[in-house]
Amino acid sequence: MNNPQAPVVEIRTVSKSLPDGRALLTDISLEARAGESLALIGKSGSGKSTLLATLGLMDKFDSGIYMLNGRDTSKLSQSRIDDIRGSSVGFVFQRFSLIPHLSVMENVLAPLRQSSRRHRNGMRARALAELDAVGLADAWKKRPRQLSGGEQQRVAIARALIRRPALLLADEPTGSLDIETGAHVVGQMLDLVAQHLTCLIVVTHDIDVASKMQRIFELRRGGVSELTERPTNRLAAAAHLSERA
Amino acid sequence: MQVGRVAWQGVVGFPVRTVLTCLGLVVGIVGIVSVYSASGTVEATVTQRAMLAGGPVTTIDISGLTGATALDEAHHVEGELLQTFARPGNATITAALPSVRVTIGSQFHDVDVVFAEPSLRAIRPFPLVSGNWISDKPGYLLPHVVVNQPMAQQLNAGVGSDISLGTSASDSMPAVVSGVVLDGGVAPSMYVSINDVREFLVENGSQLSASIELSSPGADVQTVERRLSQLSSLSNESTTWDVKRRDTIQQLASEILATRSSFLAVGLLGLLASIFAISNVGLSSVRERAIELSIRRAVGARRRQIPLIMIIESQIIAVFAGAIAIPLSSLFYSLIGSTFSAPYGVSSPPYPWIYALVGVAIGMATALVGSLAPTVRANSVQIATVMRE
Repeated sequence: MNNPQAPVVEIRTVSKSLPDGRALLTDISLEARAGESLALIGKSGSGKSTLLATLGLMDKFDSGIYMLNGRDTSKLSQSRIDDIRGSSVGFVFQRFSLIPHLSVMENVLAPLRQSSRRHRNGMRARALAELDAVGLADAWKKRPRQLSGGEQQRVAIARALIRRPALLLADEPTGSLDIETGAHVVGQMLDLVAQHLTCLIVVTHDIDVASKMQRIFELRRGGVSELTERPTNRLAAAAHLSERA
Repeated sequence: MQVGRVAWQGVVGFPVRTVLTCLGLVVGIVGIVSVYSASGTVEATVTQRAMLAGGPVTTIDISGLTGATALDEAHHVEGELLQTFARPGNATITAALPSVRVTIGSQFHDVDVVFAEPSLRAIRPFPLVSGNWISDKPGYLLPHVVVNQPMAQQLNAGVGSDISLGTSASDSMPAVVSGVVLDGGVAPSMYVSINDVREFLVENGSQLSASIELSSPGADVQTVERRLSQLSSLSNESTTWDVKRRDTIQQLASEILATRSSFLAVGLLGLLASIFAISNVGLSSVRERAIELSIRRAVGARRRQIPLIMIIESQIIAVFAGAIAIPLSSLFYSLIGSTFSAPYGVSSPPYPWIYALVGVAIGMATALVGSLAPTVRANSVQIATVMRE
């Protein structure tokens, strides 16, 4: 269980430019605590995914400070960053990103296979428990292609949570799902992060998904700002985004 | 990290890639081992032939004595030469007549006839296929001759066969085959004891030429020539000696060096083709597996573990390929060995099992080299790309 008082994510004046020199993120500051859920919304190309990659230690930033679980990530070696990413960050991607030639069980076990020996005790039982939590314990032998999109995304959630990360990052988690399935998957994800006091940050275009998060941040013109008024429906959200663009 | 298990998952998870890579390696290993084996067989076969024809000790052929007294002079020179060298050696005398006719039944045959002393086998250790080697022991009614295997087989002149020798200057002389030897030659030839046919040789003395074969660890052409010169001056004779060194093994070894190099070059070309094929398959698989590798990174694999996975995968496949290629190369070896050694009448050496280890090592090295490009590519996969797929 994570301490709900301590910020899991703390970024201060983080900036990042594209290779051509164009600024993508400019002096971004953001803080999120354990058990909190955040939505990052914004138009395409606004830098949502880049910010998510930065938060997930998959991409580097040009300047600023990023504290993950109280650790300044800018001062860590690459191998330490890899270790922290494996142990503290879970990912859920739009296209599920399951490894096609592995079974559902092996996909869920993948983070443990990358980890050190001490994390591997009873790992199959843990994987089965995670699958049970998303309602897919019976599907552990199947290959990803044998599952529906919603089921694949639930496997991805089980994989993301098996190491009990402090931070769960989801990039358009419902982007490849129909509305009903998407809502079910998001609901299940929120239940699980609340149960484990995991900090959840979701990048989404879907205002229904965003509105289920405790806080909503909008990325616009390289900056980020928290929405004080929550959009009530899709039309209002779309109007809101185009009005501010 | 369970790198081995993850690598194994990659091996079984991409069966087409695995089979193609394995196939490339098998072809490469079988090619190089077979080619290397073939050249080894040729060398071994030639070495066996060389051993039959004179062995590894320096052998010097001395010729130049002709005429009816040639044999007596040869005996004298032989004795003198053997005292010249501090280290003991062997010497033997052979004689030849240019126009010996060999008759088997009523047929004349073109056969190379060597009049020799029994001590010839001390210098040329012919293996006996059957019967006995020529002997000085008296007691035979007819001269006993020894034929080589090609003559025994081609002219049906095995042990006990009656033949006759003759020249235009003398009557035919009956003889009987007492033994068959393997002398490394492919043409029919025959060995006749000088002592058994001395009178026949004297009768044809005008055409007779004698040679001495001297085999000694310390022999060298200059010393022999100097000694022969001294002997000539002492006896006031003007013999024109022809002294030749016959280091058969070295000579043949140098002759086959070019052949062996060509074999090796062909084998290496095959191996190179395998490396390119494996690299190509590997690169395709990296493109195919970019997502998987990114996911592995995203869930905590360190950067250096990705190439490690690729390398271990390649080595697992190489071991499989080696396991297939070794028995296959053994089969090829037998075929190649029998093909190359058959004309010389000597057996090819058995499959050297060290090649099994060499084969696996070659396979692993090839797989390693072949996986370098994919490994570099895999290591450069940007982890964030997984988010955009």
